[in-house]
Amino acid sequence: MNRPALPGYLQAVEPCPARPAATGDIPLDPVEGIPTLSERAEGDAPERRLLARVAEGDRDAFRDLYLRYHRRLARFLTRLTHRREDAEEIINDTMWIVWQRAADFRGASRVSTWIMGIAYRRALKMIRRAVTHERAMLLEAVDDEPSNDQVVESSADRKLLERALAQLPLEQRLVLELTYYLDHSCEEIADIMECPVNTVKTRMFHARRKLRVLLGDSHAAGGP
Amino acid sequence: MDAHPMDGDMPAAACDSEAARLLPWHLTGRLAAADAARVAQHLGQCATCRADYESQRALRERLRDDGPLEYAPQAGLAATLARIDELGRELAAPARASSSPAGVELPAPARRAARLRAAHWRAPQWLAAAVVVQAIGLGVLGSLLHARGTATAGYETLSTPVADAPGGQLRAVFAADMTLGQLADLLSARGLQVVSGPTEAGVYTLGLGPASHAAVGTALRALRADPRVRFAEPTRLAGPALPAGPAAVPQARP
Repeated sequence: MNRPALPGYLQAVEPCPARPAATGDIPLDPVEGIPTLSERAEGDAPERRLLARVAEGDRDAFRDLYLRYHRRLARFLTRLTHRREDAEEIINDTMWIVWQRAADFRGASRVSTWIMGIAYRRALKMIRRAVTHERAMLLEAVDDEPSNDQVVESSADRKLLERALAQLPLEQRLVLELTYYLDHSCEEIADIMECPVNTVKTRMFHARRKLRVLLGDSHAAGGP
Repeated sequence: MDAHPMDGDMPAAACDSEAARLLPWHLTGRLAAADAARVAQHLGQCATCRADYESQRALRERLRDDGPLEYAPQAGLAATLARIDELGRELAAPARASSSPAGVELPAPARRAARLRAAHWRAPQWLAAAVVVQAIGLGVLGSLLHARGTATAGYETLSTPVADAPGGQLRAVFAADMTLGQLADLLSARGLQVVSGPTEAGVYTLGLGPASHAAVGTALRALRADPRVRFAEPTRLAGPALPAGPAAVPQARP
């Protein structure tokens, strides 16, 4: 032993390698609007309290909830629709429904699962409408040049990833997004997408396999 | 397509254990303890899954990189709060009329909750109506658009605040089977004019010219009472509130 053992309270703040994902340049937890590990450990009690206040008609609570959810909804819905303006419209519809139905939330699921489920169903409705109108934005793979300024500008690497993602079936793309960006559990995704848990696992499995092929072995989706 | 009985058709190249299927949620820390232990044990034994774990970690990092995506929630928040205000005013009117004579009032939250329950799914209904209008096509109504010489390049939704229609005081969606003549009659009977629209979603912005707020409220109620009007709402939410209580509402004469 070269140095004396640290007292317990200091050991706790030693560099913490516990989380295997927390390496590299991109911090995985501090995505604004996404619960951090410590928040997650607390459960969604704060959000439940917010929602209870919303059910009582508390506008400030609604504002908090809206701001908490805007980012993750925007990201998730932009992935679905490829259009920010559509995403914004769905966010507002979703949060409008949350305002009206907050009192109906019975706590059977997490607040986030409930809200993402509402957003998912609103988005599917809009997508069906869009397909009817031959906008077919979902099938529009990300081209070399963005079709309009709504399409997220991409670096070369991101563009490659976006293009690969665009080739996945919608359900697989969403499971990937709900898992890796929004950190939902398998069971929560099943709730959101209203499908069996086993289906979620299978969709994820196929998404990973397809991405591995699309991105090539040298890229993140698959090692040699 | 969704039903997937078992792991039978998993690719031969990858590990097809249940642990391999759970790997992504092990990575995100979202597995129950028993599953997490199972995956951890499997990782100790399976080189394929260890490599996969590393590649998934890299993929996750890439996926979480938002790049230049900017988030600007304020406009949407303001629009949604405005919609909430309008709903509140709308719900306040009947409640005030009915609760005062009896002298017995529910606590405010309960009253509000009851009213909100009554109004549940109102928005989805009229949004659905807008979709129907849109889907059926704007052939008939489109001619009016041409007559007005208005361009509708934007993609305006019901929840978009109308800042660019100076004379607009109401927004409305009409029944798909309403003829242009019927529409014109309805509007002229209420002194309303089309300021802009229909939008892609079939939304008209209507104006009353130099009218008092009471007149806007009257026109609004008249539109809402008409079965051919799928949806109507005021566009101006700032300024004096629309008449809400019985005192401000011109009573129908017997």
